[in-house]
Amino acid sequence: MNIKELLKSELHYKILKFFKENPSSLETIKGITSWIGENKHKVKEAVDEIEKHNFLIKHESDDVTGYGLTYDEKLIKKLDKYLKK
Amino acid sequence: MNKNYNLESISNKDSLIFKYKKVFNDFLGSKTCWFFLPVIDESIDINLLKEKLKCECECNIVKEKERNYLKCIKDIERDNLLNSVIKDNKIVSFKCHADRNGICIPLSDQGRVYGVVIICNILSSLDKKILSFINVLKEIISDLIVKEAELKKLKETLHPRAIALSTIHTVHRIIGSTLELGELLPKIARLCIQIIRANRCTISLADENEKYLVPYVTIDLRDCEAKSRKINIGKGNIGKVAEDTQIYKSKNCVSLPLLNDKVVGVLTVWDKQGGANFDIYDVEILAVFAEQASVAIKNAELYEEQKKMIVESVNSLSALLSVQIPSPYLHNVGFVEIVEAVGYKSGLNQSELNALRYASMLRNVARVGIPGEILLKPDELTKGEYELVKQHSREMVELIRPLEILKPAIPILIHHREKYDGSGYPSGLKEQDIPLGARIMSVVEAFEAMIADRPYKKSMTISQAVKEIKKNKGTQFDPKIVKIFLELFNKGVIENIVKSHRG
Repeated sequence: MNIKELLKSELHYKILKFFKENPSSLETIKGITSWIGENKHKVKEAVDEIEKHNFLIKHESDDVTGYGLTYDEKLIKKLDKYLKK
Repeated sequence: MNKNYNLESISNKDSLIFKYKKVFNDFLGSKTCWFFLPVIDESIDINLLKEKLKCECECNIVKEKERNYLKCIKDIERDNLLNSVIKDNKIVSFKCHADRNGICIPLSDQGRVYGVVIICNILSSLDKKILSFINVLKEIISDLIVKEAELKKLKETLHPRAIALSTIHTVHRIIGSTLELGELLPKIARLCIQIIRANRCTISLADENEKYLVPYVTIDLRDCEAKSRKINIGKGNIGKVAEDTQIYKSKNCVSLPLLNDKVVGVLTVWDKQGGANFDIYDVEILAVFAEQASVAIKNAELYEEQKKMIVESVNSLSALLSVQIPSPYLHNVGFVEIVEAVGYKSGLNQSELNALRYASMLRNVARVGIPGEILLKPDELTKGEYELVKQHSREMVELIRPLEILKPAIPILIHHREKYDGSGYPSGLKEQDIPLGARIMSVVEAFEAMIADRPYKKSMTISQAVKEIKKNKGTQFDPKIVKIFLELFNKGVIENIVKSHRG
């Protein structure tokens, strides 16, 4: 799935928009859910998919997993372009 | 006063002004045109007024007949009407087209006019009653707009702070749950890079003599092999951070002390992603982050000390057991090394490896108290002797259960005599039901027994023993563990350990 297809889903769009607008944030699934106001399980699925496409980076420990925006500047520029559209 | 008012919402038809427009029109019984003009640098852009008159006026007469629209403008421009409205903060009327009336209403906050509402095409005359009503309207609208703008600004200030707080909380949870220093420091560096959007982060810890800062981890997104140098405390910008415990900041570098009751080390970030400079906001976040990191590092160091003490105690216990029950061939250290090598290759994490290490050091716990003639019996044990060994092994292993750090080792100690096909003891566990550590220990223990000389049998060579292990994969041993064991043997690892630790 490329970014165009990813952003077709409103949920994926909301998640990516949140991280693009807040690039320094590091959030758990619960945190992301509270910021964008969606179902937690759907958010988890969407975040996992976005992470597989390398737009998000996972930081894990035994108890908790946090997600942050990718460092890859090419991906960020791509994201910027498609979010503006 | 420097407030950014939410002017777009004021132009919106759903806005406060247009809600009052309906009230006003109902009061006057006429259709009026309303538009809002912002005051910037104490003046109004007259071109904007012209634009709005053209576009927004609902009066067909004004739209269709340009001279009428021009009349409006002429009147407003005459005598510098708008400027006097702004300067004096007073409602001023003017003549609109077709002898209708217009009015300019200043909206102000604490005496300063920030915008003007112009109403034109008023049919009625602007008597005292109407002007009084408009004055009240003016105050209400002014207040409501100011409140709306303040709320918006508050949201703009609070929202990023709330997100930052949430981020710090997530960071705290991630690093707080990591106690192994080797895992913790790279994690801290990666998190730092993530939340500050830096390209590089180094964590250096003070040495024992507090003379040097020794780099423990360097992560650079641009260079996987990046390394940092040892630095004298007190020398250079970063060395001075450790000495003075003050933050150092330049355009492309921020360095902070990691402090507990003394300087633990220094955390430094370089080169913000995208080429931007580090700002005061970054320093604030880093300061909070550094505090959390310091606590996490201290906890990890305490945990290391505690572990060291326990490992030393386990070593002593193991040495005592070895005196009681000498290892058949390999010195205990050699046995532990082989078990650890297989465990590492099997993908065990650090805590699982620790449990395996303790279990292999204490493998003789199960044998303590078992009569020597049973332990060294060359023939097969009788049913009674077998039951005795099983029961006794369990009891002896339970003695170490009160030691919290050894608890994970207990299932390995209990089940390392199980067989993969379920024919082992004490529980007859089979395949993946046998704890992985037990499956690993079982292979290495069998290997050790095979290469040992016993009174009732001659020892095998290492190669013969390895062949025997291979033969029994799937029955006695886990085939995956056997595969790893063979890989290590083929690389010469097993042989080297055996040769250096012959008992």
